[in-house]
Amino acid sequence: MALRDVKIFTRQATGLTKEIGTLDTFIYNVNNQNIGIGVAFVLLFIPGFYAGADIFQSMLIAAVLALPMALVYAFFSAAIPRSGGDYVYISRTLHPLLGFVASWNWVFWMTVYVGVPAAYFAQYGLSGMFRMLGVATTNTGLIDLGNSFVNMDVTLVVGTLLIGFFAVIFALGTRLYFRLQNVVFAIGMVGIALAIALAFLGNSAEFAGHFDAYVASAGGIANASSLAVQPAPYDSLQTLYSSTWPQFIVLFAITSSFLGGEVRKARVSQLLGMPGGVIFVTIMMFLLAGSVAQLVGQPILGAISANYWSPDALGLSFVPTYNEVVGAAYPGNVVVALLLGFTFVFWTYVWLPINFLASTRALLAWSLDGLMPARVSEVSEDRHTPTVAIIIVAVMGWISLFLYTRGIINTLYGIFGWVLSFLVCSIAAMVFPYRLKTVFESSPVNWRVAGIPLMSIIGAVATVALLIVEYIWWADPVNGLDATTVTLGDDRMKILTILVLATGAAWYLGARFIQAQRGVRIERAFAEIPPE
Amino acid sequence: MARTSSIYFVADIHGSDVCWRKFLNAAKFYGVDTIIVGGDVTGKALVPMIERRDGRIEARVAGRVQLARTAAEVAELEARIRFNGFYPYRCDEASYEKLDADPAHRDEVFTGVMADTLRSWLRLADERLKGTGIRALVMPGNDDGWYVDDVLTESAEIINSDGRVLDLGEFQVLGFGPSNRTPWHTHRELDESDIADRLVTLEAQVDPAKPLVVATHVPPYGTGIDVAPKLRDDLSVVTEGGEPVMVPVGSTAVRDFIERTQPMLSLHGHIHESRGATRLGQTLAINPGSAYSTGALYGAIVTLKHGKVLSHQLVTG
Repeated sequence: MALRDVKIFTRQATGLTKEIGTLDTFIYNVNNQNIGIGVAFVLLFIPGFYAGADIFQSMLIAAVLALPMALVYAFFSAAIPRSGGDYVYISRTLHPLLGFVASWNWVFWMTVYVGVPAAYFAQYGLSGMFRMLGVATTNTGLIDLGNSFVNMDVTLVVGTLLIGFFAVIFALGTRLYFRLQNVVFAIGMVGIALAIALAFLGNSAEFAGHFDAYVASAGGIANASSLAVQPAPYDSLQTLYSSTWPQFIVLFAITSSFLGGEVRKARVSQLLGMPGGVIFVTIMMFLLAGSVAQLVGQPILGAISANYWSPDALGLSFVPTYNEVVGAAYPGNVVVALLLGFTFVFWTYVWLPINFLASTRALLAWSLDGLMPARVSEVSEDRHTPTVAIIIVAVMGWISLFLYTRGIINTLYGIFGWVLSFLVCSIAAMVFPYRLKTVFESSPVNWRVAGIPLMSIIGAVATVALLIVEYIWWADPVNGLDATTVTLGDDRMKILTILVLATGAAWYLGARFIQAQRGVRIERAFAEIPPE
Repeated sequence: MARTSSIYFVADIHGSDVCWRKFLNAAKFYGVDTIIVGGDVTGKALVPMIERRDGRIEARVAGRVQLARTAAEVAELEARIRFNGFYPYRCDEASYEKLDADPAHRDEVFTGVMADTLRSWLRLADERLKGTGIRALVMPGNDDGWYVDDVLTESAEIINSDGRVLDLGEFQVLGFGPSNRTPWHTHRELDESDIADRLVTLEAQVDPAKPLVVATHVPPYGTGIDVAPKLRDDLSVVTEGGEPVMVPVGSTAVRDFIERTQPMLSLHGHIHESRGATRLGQTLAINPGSAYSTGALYGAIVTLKHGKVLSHQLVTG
């Protein structure tokens, strides 16, 4: 009898379902990585703000740095499935206080990125779509409408409506959202494929002329391509710094760590689904950015990027994202304008509902553990959805939207703080096989290399990778936390980053004190009962 | 003056040796006087440890075939299997082949192993709980075969609370283990109308003057503590956007009963992924959830006084 023939026998028992497959975990993770907005940012910001940076190396660096972390979460999801993600991993492996602070930090920054993508919807999505349609149909009313969406007061109003829309959707039940998201994701992916195809098929030789005509038709200057910027010689440090943009996308391929199975198998689906998501998204970003770059050429991309903060140099209200640029190669083609503009809109806000949902779930978990009032985890009688948690996240998201539209916070200034949670989780992975030896040894990922648990090795590699990530997010002159002192004129983002961690610790200790007055000992929520 | 009572409630430990051991130590650890297992004590998988002719032992653990040669390695492998809530079963190649080929024989062996394991658990309970004054209630759930009732009678310290109303002094506990229908066609499943009838019969035993705790294995329908992944006929999980679609699967009869009788507390299990607490009118309803296969014991601590719930806390022990 061969080794592979050795079976286990299960009986008919509740809950023994087939495991969720690789494709599902893959989709779940790809959903959370925003290919469209990622490439838009890579092309909008790297050519003009990082002299000598190579956008493809930048994307490769981001993927290499994100992969070990994706593996850490994949390993944890195999070892402690169905558990609520890193809140539980860190609480059980290191300390409940650290677990809560890491989770608090996650949720704070997630709610920030509920508000910011709400602004993107108008700022990058509706604006470009209507301007494209206006140019294609020579309708100045549509162009003006497009321009109006970059007015921050309009952005605030539209963003508020969008946050309100998703709050209602979640109050009606997550199933409605996931049905919607399935359709939206498909539309978004079709848009990516279409943009790649149209960019490859577009006439690069005539592009400068088409671009000039597009900008002029949109109300801009007559010869926009004359602003072309010749690329600077290759610069490895600028390339490293510029990787903040693609990192913003691929660092978040870990959402499927919340999906778990009961009979633990070697979780091929998770091990492939999370790192696979990083690789797939990177390939898609390569294809899209590559095809746009060959159509448009680096000099014009440089012109667009360099004038991001001064679009009036082009005579425009805002510089075009890649979908508008590709659409410009097909002058007067309303179908192309409509398809590219419409499909891109769905990428602009995709983080909003994902972060919204993840934040409400974290609030529920905290409430169940006694770290939030019980009302937070109460569900409505009719829809069985957590109304209070939804309202809290909606309000937090709206505050972030307001601060963003007032210029008080900027797009990526929170990532340094956010990554700290990933870092703590990677450290937890390193020590997990030693601190929770029995759980590790009984897990399907109890592999060893030269006697050392592979999970510890991956945790160590991820820790080093994330320290490099943190260095980049500190030092990048555009997005780095250190740069915010110059760009914002004070240390508010540094102070905020520290405050988030400090308030998390204070909240935990305060909740412990308050609950103790009621006879509830918070520390019991996480303490392991000795079995012997 | 009314005494303050505290309950530690868990469910769905499904054969996990480490969870059972933790359960027995929970009263001392949390300082409670009553501990309850709300159904589904037996496990779901039998793991043959096949003794080869050359003396080595092979078993499939966590999706991979693992080998043990020395006595220490065998003991370690066995412990690993038990940790996940599975039952190790030592056999030679011929016995394994018979197990594989003959479903009736396999059922018989499986049942025997489950019963023997439960007996060993009860012996441990009797050792640890004797003379402590701790009240320990265990009831079978829908996944537990009918033999479990007989085995439970062998314990001096454990009380089977299924189908009974037990007077615990300060309050009474109504226990009910069966569930509504599931896609797995398990041992103790009833139609909703039968559940309703059985609960009404039990209600007749309740002392209306004394506070009531209802412990039904299946949670009340549509309360948020009864949501499970939606399944297709082949038991695969329906997903949308990569995420499992969750649907309520609790019992409507249990919900009706709780809404009508309004006990101060109702305790449930059955749906492992639906950990939470909610209110049905004046009743606090709790499902502590289960993660037995990770060795973590999910539970709920509830403090009672004057016929009211003073506090509750979900814990991961």
